[in-house]
Amino acid sequence: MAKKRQQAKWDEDLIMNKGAPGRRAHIPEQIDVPKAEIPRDWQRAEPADLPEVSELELVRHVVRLSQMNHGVDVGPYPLGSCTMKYNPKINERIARFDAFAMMHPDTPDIAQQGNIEVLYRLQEVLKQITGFAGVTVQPAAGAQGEYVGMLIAKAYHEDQGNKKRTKVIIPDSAHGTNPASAAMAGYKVVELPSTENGYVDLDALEAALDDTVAAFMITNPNTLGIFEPHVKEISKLVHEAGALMYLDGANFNGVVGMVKSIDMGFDIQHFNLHKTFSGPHGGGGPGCGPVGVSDQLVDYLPAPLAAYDAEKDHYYFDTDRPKSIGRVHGYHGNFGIAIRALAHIYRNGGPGLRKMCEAAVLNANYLMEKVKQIRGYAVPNAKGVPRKHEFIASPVPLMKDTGITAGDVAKALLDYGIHSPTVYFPMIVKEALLIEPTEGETRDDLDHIIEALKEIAKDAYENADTIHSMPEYTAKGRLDEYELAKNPVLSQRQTKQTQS
Amino acid sequence: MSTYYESYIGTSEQERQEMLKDIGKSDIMELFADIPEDLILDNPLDIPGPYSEQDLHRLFAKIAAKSKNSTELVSFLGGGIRQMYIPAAIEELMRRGELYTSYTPYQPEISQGMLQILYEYQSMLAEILAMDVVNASMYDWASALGEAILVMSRLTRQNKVIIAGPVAPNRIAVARSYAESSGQELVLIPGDDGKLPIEKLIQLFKEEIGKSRKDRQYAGIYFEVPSYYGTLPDYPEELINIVHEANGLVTVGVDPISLGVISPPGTYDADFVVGEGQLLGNAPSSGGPLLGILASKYDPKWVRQIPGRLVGATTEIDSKLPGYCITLQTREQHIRREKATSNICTNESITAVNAAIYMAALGKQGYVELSQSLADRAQYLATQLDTIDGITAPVYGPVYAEFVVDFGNIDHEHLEEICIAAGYVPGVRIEGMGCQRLLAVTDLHSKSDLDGFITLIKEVVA
Repeated sequence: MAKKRQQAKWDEDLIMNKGAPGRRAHIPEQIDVPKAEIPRDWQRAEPADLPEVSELELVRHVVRLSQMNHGVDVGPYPLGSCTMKYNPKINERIARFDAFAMMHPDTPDIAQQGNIEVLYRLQEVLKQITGFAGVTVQPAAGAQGEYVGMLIAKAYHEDQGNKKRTKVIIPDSAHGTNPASAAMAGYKVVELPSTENGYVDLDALEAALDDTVAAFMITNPNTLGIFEPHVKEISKLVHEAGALMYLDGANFNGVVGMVKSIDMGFDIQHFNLHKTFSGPHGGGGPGCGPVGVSDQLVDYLPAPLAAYDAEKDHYYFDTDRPKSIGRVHGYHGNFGIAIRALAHIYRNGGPGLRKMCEAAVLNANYLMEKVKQIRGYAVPNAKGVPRKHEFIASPVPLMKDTGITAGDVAKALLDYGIHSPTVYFPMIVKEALLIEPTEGETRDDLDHIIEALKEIAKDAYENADTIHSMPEYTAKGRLDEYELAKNPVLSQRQTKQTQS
Repeated sequence: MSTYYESYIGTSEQERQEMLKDIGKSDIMELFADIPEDLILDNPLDIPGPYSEQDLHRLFAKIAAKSKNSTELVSFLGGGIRQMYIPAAIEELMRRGELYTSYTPYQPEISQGMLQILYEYQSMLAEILAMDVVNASMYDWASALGEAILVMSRLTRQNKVIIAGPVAPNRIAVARSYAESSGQELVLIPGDDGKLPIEKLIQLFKEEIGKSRKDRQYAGIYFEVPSYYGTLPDYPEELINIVHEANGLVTVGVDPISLGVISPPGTYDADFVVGEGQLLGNAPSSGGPLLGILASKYDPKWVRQIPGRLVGATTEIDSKLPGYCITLQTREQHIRREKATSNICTNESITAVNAAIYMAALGKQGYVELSQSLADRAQYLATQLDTIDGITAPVYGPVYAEFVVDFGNIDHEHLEEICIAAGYVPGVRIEGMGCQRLLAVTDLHSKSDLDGFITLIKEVVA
């Protein structure tokens, strides 16, 4: 029997419903200066209806809530395409150094040399890892990196006097952010169907390529965890058509240190430092989505870039970038994640990055081979081809035999203290469970995932009803998401307004 | 060769060999046999490392030492973000690995902690802004503004948006990027006395009302309270009524801390609010992660048009007990793809968590006290600086916690050097305006910090 894990189940009311009038947590310091008068028209009539709680009350509230939350620090998190790897604690400590955490980005350069150096070093090392000629760390997340990449493509083509290139080709297996980012940058999206094996369909690509195409945007390894074997031929076709090759770096953990993006023929790539290079995901963010580009595109990178004057041994922000696409962030992007990533890259070094990639790929393939053997699960597409950092298990047979779906399996896994894989993505695979164990999981944890999947399948065949009632060991059972979407309740104020 | 990186790999070398064998492979490179051979690097990357944990600490401590330790500087930097005091309880709570090592709470049953806190963030900030709906975070104020402009355009099907009064150049730059790549046009109407040019705007929108619907062109207007120069405009109620009459929408940018004592946008009928949530107890982090605030009135149609994640309150199916989950996901990129309301996926959740704890820690009374204490400090500092010959403070008024100071004939660089050497950062340069600088006060400033700076400036001018 695979072990189940009981998550904490506190009956914890909203903080707004706690406390009592007059209770205090943080009391602002008052200093001995005269009281300022706020102009009469502007005086707030009623104080905001915030809770009144004691400090201990607040601390217990947050600690209890945290106990009702699953993180990488709690248990396996094989969420495909999200690279939920361990977030080394030394990186947390370094990011908290006062000079880094408490720095205002508009501090004059002379007082923040070290901080600019961090950004500069990260730009340099990302160049070395990919072979690109220029890198910006300004985009706050992968999607913003994609958006920047698309703006760069646009600026490049326009600079070439070419305004006809209005389309971006994207495979149907792509992350949803790809078409959304291309559309935000003003491009028309052309969806390219994949082959049965999940590869790019070269004939379809060739047919779609013409002088109206600005870029081809792909993820490699793709969202099925499969390396695109024809990547060089694809680059050649795309370049011959005058378009640019864009690499979505979300799956970089599957090849980092093993291949260089420039060698595959890419012109633009965004990184997800919060995935590949261990930035904590923070319950949804922050990320950090640097963009690397080939030689011909460096001029278009966002401004400013971190720069170094070797002669004066001086770091500065280079704002003199006349062809730049401009700004996408108020400051220099998510420095807090950038510094964690730089620390992680240095800690690993070249040999470590390679080992990290190997171990991530081994864990994924080990899981895949074991899952294949479990009754009810199939591993579709590209038979016999090793996967990179992630793979798809599809419980189509299980569903046909028992009615238990990928979604049910995902919910059942939660009872084993395992976060569910990514479900129903990519959309081109039926009943997809996209599984990415990362290099951080132990063999015991991998075996636990396998045992849990086995037991769920067994229960499905013997007594499917037990699966429908899962999860039971989590803080809450299944929630009424349907009613909420129909009548969304998004704040307590909104409910008060409706009542009054 | 050192193998310090093994700390982060879950399996031992021996286990890895066994696992390989177990799946019928003898060499790890067999798992990379699908990659064209000439693409595989012969050698590991030639980059710094591997480092021991100690050496990594030493290296970064050395790099950090090249920067001024910002806790030892008295900084008057603002303009969107500020270094505020972070209560110890919040700092400790933010180390909960269950929270900061989690992903977006797509599986609500196992992620109730994150979901409930985000719902509390939305709810408490909604009270402060007097708006109904706050999303679960955008990247920063600037991109929240960019997205708000796109929302106004979508809802009105018009493509011009006015940015009025003083707005930070970096926010305008980002807004421009978002707007222009989607075919929207920004019209800047800065105003000439450092304030929102309300009369001019009223006139402009009155003309709009006079036009037929198809000749109207403005999706709406954006302005800030307080403005980038720290100023409070004349009360904008009439302007907003007229914009609404012209079928336009209004987005207001705010400093959330100001709203302890200043009238919130909901009371003067703003449609959308953006702002910087870093101010809610988050570290400035050298410019990020920040916390983009995006709020709106509740309208069933509007909530389906706003970007970003939304957490809603619902019930457990079996027990009918309360529970929380992400909702209205059909607006988002992972479902709607190129037709999504935005491309945003990863956001800034953890800074929203921090903000939620901060708002609760201050509570009803503390929030007002903190807000007032910044107005007090700003008034004191401005008044005292203004008594110095050759210095004008504030250049524009009335102000809240930030204000423009004219330092007269001093050179920016010279002033910065002297101040930094003495332990002060004299605010942000206002480009192209002689030696005008934007100064901000925070709750880190003691009276002696303010007095020390005043004394220093007296010496510099003399």
